[in-house]
Amino acid sequence: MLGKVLLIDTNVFLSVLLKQNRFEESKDLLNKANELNLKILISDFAVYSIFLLLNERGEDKVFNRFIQYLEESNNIFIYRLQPSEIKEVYKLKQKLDLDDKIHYYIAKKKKASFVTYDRDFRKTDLASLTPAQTLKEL
Amino acid sequence: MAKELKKTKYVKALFSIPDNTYLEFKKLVPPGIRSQLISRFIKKYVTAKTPKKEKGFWDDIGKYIKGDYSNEDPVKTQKNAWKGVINRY
Repeated sequence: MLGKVLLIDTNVFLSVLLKQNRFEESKDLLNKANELNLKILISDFAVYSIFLLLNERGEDKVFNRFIQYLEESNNIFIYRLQPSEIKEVYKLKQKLDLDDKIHYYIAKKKKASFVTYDRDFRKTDLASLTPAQTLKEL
Repeated sequence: MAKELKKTKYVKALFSIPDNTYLEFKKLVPPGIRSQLISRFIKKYVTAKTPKKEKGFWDDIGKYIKGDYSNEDPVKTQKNAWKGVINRY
């Protein structure tokens, strides 16, 4: 069952912002979440990763539009870790990359449904869903 | 105000702000002016018009993309995001 909050991973946003593989299902999810006014969390780490990648590729217009959208959106919130939370992330024992650990921590703390294409989370106790699976639940 | 604060749904709405916002507020605003500031904030935003939601953003963003990344896997792209930075420094 879906929680009240969705935590959406970097790769889902990237697939739409760069029109990569499976971008249609990511787009459908973000449109649906917007329509239903579902609360969406994005970590600040994810925002910086998107910043890096779009900057590297010279996709300035996409980046500017995305940031403007984040600023104006009333259902997407940037989650910024506090020092005490960074300490908690550091302590995590799961064999995950740093950004994955951050998402693992936020999803657990906020009891959010985690949406990602990353299969690494299947090795953990955090239930994750792809955008298509999430859409079916909405 | 006191009467309203007894209604659960109002309290929930008032305190549904993210933890970070609350902590930043507590850290930066001295206790003496907190309630005054909250009253001003509520007055300003409760009477403000709800901003119109931008519709079709996710449908339209495609027209701003210059390159072709259709064969790329977003998970791989994400995993490689910080490699360039690490190599540079």
